[in-house]
Amino acid sequence: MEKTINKQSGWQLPSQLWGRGSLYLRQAFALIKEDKQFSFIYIAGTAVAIASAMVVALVLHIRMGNIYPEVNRDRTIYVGSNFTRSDGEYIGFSGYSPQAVEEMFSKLECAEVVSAVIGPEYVFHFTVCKEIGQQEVSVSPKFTDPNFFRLYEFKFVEGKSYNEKNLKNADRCVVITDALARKLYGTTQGVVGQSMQLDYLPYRVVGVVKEVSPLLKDSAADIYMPYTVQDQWARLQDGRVGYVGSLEVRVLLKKGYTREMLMDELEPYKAKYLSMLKSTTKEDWNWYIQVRPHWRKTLNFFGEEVNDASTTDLLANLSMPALFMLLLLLLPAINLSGMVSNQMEARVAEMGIRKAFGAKKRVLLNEVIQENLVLTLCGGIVGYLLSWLFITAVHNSAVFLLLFNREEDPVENVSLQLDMFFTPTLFLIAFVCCAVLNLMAALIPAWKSLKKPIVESLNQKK
Amino acid sequence: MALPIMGEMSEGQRGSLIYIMETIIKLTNINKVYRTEEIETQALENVNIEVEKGEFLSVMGPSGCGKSTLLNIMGLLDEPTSGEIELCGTKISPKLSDERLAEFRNKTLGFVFQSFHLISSLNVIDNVQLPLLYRGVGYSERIRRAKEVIDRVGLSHRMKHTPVQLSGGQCQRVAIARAIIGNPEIILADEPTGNLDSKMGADILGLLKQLNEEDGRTIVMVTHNEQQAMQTKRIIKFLDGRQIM
Repeated sequence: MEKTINKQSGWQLPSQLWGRGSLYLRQAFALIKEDKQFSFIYIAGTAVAIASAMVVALVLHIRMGNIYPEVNRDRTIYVGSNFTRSDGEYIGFSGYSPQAVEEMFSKLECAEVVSAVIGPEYVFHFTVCKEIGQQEVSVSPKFTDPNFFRLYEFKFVEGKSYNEKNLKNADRCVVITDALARKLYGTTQGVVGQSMQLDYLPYRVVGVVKEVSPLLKDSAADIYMPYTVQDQWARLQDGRVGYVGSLEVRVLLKKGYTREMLMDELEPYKAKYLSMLKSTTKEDWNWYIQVRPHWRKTLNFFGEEVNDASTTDLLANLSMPALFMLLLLLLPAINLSGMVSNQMEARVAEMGIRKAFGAKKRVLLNEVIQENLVLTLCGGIVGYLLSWLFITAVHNSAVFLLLFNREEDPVENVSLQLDMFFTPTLFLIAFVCCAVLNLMAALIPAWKSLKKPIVESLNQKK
Repeated sequence: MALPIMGEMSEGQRGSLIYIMETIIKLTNINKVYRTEEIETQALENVNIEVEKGEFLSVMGPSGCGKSTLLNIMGLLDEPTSGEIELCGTKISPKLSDERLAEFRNKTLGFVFQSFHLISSLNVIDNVQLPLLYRGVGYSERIRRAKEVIDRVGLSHRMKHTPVQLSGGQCQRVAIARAIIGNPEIILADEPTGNLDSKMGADILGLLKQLNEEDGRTIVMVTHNEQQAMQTKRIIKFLDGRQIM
């Protein structure tokens, strides 16, 4: 009696799946070898399609994914504020004052870390040198509090960040990147404690961190300093009322807490500030606390409302680039579908044989799609590497920087890190793109071929 | 199921004291008409055939007389325009789904074609195991059985070869191994020696006879070769879609 494990349609044991899978694989590679020209064109076509879709995915990933040191982007919230007149007319946006950071944010239940940074609109490039008279280097600075190095998980090559005392005392101490350390001191070791001249003022290095790609605008800089050393710091607070100031507040939510919970916690301060504002300016304005998750800062296809009551969610926003990627796959898929159609025409007799020996249509359909997926995946791997090469080639161009809002703040050389390109999420996206492309290219030709009567298929000449 | 009856003994059955007859293929009033917009061709006309279990039947006739159409209908590869088919005691309803027909073919029938119909991208062992693959038999069992039948047709040394690396006779042996691996009751052979020289043809016929005599498999073979047909247990002849003998 033969040992039948189960029917074609039922569940399958792993050994059976492996056996069937390995047969499909062998067949797929045999087909690749059998028709090298077809395989080459198919793989090349797939590679170009996947590469174009992956460029979109890579840009999105760099903007939204968890990448060093912004490894908690999914929990990071950026808090700003907006003003309107009583008739709803938009006046402008603003950051927060140290008073607001202390009163509104320092005791938040849902926050793991709160960090305040001087907004980019108040920050300009500096020149630094080891000593006056030595070669000067133009640097991009960030003025932060010590929590900045906890909110973003910087890797310290040496030393540590400045502390609250340094912030309070406006100590001239800096954390620099390893790239800047190499430029200034020729090494990354023994740099802590060394001095440097920053706009002709002496500063002391307290820490060296691994360089951050300038594409990560929220955390990237060459040099980090306590925001209190900003020479215009005092002036930046002039004329501001209460909670309003020049600090951008960033909150790392505790796990399990949501943006809405943070909004609820901040809500009582709104009335408090408005009454402060009215008593000082006599103006009847509205003030909205803007609480934006990281993704909303970088991906906003549906506009943003001043009062932040926008109902568009992440999935709705992601649907736009997903649609664009689908369109990028669609045109090549039509071409590839024609090729598969021709190939299936040549395999009609084979399909007839398989059906004669008991293969069901859906099993054969599955088989053809799996065989084709091997080719598509080969194209996908080439496409993935092509997209990486493409981005590596254009990453210093103005058009590319435009995608990361760096056009107004150009950088000499945009460093790229491998973890921007090779992540499980991107592999998954690439695989999904391959699977979608494969289905679009192979499903219809395979189904048409399998619909032919067996006798007609068997009599078809190759 | 047909009642066991005493039947006429053929040469191969001589020596058995009692032979119990059981109808394994029964075609009743089979008609097959091919219609196009301009022309209607009657490929089979009122065909009635019964094949007993263990028979080796030859179907003869000139080209275009409907032999292959008959075999295709017997093998459930094609549908008759009208008439009834009964295989292994099961009436094949015209309403049977493609999936059920595929299962039935897989378990009951084995095919040997004139042009071998091996899959060129698969090697011998992979070609042979196909029926078991579609039956859902596990990998190791499939390989064990494939090796067994390949050995039986004398091609153990060619297991990893692809069809293009084999001679015509060897290809047909592979096709026979594929036809028998699922242990089907019936083997349908459509001019199995048609593409072979006389020596290879004789080898293949010998193999089919062996399967019939040793395993008791029922074989229906379409052939043009009268000499080969004479070696089977019964011959029926067709002309213009009708059985004339």
